[in-house]
Amino acid sequence: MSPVTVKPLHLLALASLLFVACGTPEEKAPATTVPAKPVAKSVAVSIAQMKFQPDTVRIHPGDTIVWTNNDVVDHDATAFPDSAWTSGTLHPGDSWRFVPQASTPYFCSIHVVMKGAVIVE
Amino acid sequence: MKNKTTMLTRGALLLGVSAFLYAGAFAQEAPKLTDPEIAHIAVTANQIDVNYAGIAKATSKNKDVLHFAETMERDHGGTIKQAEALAKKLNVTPKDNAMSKSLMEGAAKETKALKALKGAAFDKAYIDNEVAYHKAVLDAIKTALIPQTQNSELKGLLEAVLPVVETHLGHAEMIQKKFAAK
Repeated sequence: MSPVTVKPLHLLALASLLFVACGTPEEKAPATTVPAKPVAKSVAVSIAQMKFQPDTVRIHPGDTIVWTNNDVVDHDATAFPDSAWTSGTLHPGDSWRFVPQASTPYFCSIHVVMKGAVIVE
Repeated sequence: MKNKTTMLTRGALLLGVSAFLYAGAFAQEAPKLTDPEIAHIAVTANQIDVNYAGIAKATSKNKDVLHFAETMERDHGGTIKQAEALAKKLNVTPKDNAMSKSLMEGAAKETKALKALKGAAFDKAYIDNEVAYHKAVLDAIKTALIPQTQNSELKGLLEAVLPVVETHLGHAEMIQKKFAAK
């Protein structure tokens, strides 16, 4: 059996591999302390008895709001006062999904006394 | 100016007439009503407000009044379709009755009075009438129609319509206050 010869170059390569595989304690720490990215969720708003229920919705950026018309007449959900976004007419039984980017009050442009609010926290 | 004053006076008189007519039409010592009669009253009351909305759309240029009239046409028109579909499903033929006839008579007088008005006088009279009409309808649904309805689905439709009428009343009162502040 021929003796195994270890050249300096091989030692360097081995050390590099160990460094990459294990890392140093200082390098490990950030991987465990980075806060988990919040998972976007879906929040339901029922339109019933001429009200948005709940009338105020608190969400995080990226969350989706789903409005469902459970009433007996047409409704919509429209940003107030600039109408920056609108569901368009929601007939009874219709739903509309939307990801609001900013906090805003909103209303039903058909029944202007129906009001709600989206708060993006 | 005189013409405008006369129109406004007519409008004010109209409001008094409206309140009287509706109180008379609905408050008939709680007559005994059957489900076919209640279905007929529901369709009639909705149709009357659709007709008023049609007059407003043809006469007014005020954006609040036009928007309100469109909402009345849409909501009451939709309710008529639902009431008719339910009557068909339940195999109920809406039956004419004293309350329906009284409503129609009141509406005929109101229509004639509204058609005699133009501009701001019309807008005020139309909205005042809508406030009086929705108050009277609301009271009739609560005290006469819902308590006497036997079929649970018809009762359910009337109960579902109640908040719609309440919202219409709130909307009309909001416009009424806006006019009063001018």
